Amino acid sequence: MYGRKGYQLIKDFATGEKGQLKPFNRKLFDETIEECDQNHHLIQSLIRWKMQQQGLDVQNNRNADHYGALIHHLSLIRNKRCLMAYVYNRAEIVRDLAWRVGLELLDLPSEIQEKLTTLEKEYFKNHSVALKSYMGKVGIELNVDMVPPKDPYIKVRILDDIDEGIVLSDKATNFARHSMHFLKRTDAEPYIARGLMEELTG
Amino acid sequence: MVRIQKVESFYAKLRESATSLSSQNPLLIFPSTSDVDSLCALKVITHILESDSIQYSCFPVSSFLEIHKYAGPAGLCSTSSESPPVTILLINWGCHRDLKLVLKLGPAARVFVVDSHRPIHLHNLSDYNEQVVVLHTDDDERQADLAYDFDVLKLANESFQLHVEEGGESDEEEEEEEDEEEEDEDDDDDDGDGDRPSKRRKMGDGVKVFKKLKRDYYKMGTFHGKPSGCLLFELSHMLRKNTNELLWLACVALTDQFVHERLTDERYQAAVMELEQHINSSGNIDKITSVTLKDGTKVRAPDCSRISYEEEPRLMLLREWTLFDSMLCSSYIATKLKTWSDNGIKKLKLLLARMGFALIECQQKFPYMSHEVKRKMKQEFDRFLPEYGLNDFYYRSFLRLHGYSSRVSAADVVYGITALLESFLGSGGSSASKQFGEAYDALSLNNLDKLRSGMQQAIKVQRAILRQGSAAITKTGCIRSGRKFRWVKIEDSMDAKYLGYPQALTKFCYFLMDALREKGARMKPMLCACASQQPGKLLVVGVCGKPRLGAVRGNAFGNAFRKAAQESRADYFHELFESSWIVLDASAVNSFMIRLTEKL
Repeated sequence: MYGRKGYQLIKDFATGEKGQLKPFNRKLFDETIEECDQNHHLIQSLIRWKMQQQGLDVQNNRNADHYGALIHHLSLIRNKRCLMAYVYNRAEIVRDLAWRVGLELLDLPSEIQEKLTTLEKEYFKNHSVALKSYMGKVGIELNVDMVPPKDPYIKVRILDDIDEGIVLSDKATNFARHSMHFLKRTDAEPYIARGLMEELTG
Repeated sequence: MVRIQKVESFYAKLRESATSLSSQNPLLIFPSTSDVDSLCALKVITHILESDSIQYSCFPVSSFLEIHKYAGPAGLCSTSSESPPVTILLINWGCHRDLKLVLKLGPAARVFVVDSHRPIHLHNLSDYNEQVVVLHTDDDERQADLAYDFDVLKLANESFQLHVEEGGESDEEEEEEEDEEEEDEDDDDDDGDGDRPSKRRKMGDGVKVFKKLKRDYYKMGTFHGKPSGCLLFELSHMLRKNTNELLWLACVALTDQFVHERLTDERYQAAVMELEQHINSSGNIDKITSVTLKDGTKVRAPDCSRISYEEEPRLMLLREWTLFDSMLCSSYIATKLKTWSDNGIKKLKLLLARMGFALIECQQKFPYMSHEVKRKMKQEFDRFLPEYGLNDFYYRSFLRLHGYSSRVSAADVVYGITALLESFLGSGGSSASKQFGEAYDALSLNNLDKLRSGMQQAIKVQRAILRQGSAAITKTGCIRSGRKFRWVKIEDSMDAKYLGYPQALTKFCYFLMDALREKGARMKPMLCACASQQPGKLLVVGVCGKPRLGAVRGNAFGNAFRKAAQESRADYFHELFESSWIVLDASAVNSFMIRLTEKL
């Protein structure tokens, strides 16, 4: 009651790692909406029904119930803001994924795909399409790393079995699990983004 | 040219081969997962390759044939000369077997080897075997622990040519057997010297002498040459690519051989001196260790990282442990004082009391131990330990100082990393390569936590050594004694988890040998069997005693192991990188031991 659910929803989001998605908390999300509905009903009952019963004018008459109604109203607004913030922040991460990981939904690791709702997937696709068409117009690939690399080559370790054949620009090799490779940064980047390789430093 | 005597020319050849235009494959590096030296060498060579922008792929392997899993037989063995050339670098394994045969190399493959295992198979050394390039420096040959007084290169060439003439198809094992036959026949010859004009005579003295030399060469048994890490550090030094980081790796590589008793004290001293010079010349002495703030206060520089050399006590993992426990468990002290018995503990406590260290202080974790004890430690140890016959308690070693509080000694790093390398479970080689990755990370300074976890594992291993070692010593009949060697089998399944790895078992063997020497037993080589990580299999490790300068032979178990295993007709796996390591079926051990007694 009084904005607690919205608070919990935001808490749930904030406990996740920064920039990382948690599964969409449908239960809490629905409960928050439920709480908003309850608040709405109570305001209704406090103001409209009472006024109509007593035939009073809202403008001129103030009574104790007004304060109660105000509290309900504020918690309703707060819950709504929490809901918006939840969706907005998730959308931001989803957009970020498109920039950082890849423009195709299927490129995303399956564990991330599982965490997205259908609407979010839709949003991701639309955002990617918009981005792609813009990049096509400008003729620049905008989603590459902004910081120019010190070295065109990179040292990586393979974290997981990579089944599909990897296309490298000039050399072919076997990407067995736990093996280490020194290869072109551009070849490795998509796999690092998908969590199949890790960069070795130091 | 197959034996390369200079590190620079070896690298030049490697680079040329790896970057040739027609090559479709990156350079394939196969480091051995069985020792720290190979890890250090890998780090050094990759640093050099990276600075030359040479692409490589690196697959840690733990046995000979694992290489095919990664390289794909197509590249290695293909017989057509059309296939794209493959360049392979083996780090710290391979040179004691005929690589061309064992790996079934096709004409497109070229193998470069940096390995400290000796003796090198003659075919690998031969000038005519273009596909295998071994780095074996002149210095290394001259300073080897075991010396031979003939021209190995000539011998190698003749041996390889003879091998080619004979068809070159014969399997390696067959060839070894052949040697054996010849040996017998030669003996016959000697017996009936004047009586019958042997046909064999006509083959000429040359061939005969050559065969004798060849036999002598292999009969010396296995030993170790210069650590690969140090060799490659020299390369980086000559190419002006050396950094402090690489120098530290060279120190660790050398200490690896020292800790696992793979080199003589004399050679260790010489190598230490060489590295100390490097340490001095790369600005480790006058590094700024403190900065003065604006208001005049002096603080220690936070990002200071340097290498220093100091006299270190032979107490393992002292900085991660307590002084008391480290003394209790370290092989050097434990075997002298017999710390597993009540009497031994009493002796140890008495020793501490005489040195003036409160017991409660010594049982404190080392970082929290009182400063005074730390300060007085060296002086007091030097004063009292000779009474117990511990004369060389302090030895020259290296320390890495990093940041505010991190001080690690090279020996502790070796213990920690070895424990990490040897803590894979199950039978798959993949988990060994996973551990290799862990160890790789732990070796860099940013990952002290991983190194610490390795050190904790090493402590568990050492405790298991003490437990099992003392049990074997005190229980009569546990160590079985043969004419030429002793052997023991670890039955305890809990401790087998810690000891069922080659290096851990080797340490265990040395512990037993030291303990037996204290009991006054005659020195004999030691064999140890322990359940390996594969179910139903036993790992057997043979140790011949600490290498000594001027010794006649190294570890003679290598050849004997193979022959005994073949004769006992059991399933065996002799593809590990040290020929004195073998994996057997648990049921075959007794018959294996009987055969082995006959062989030695």
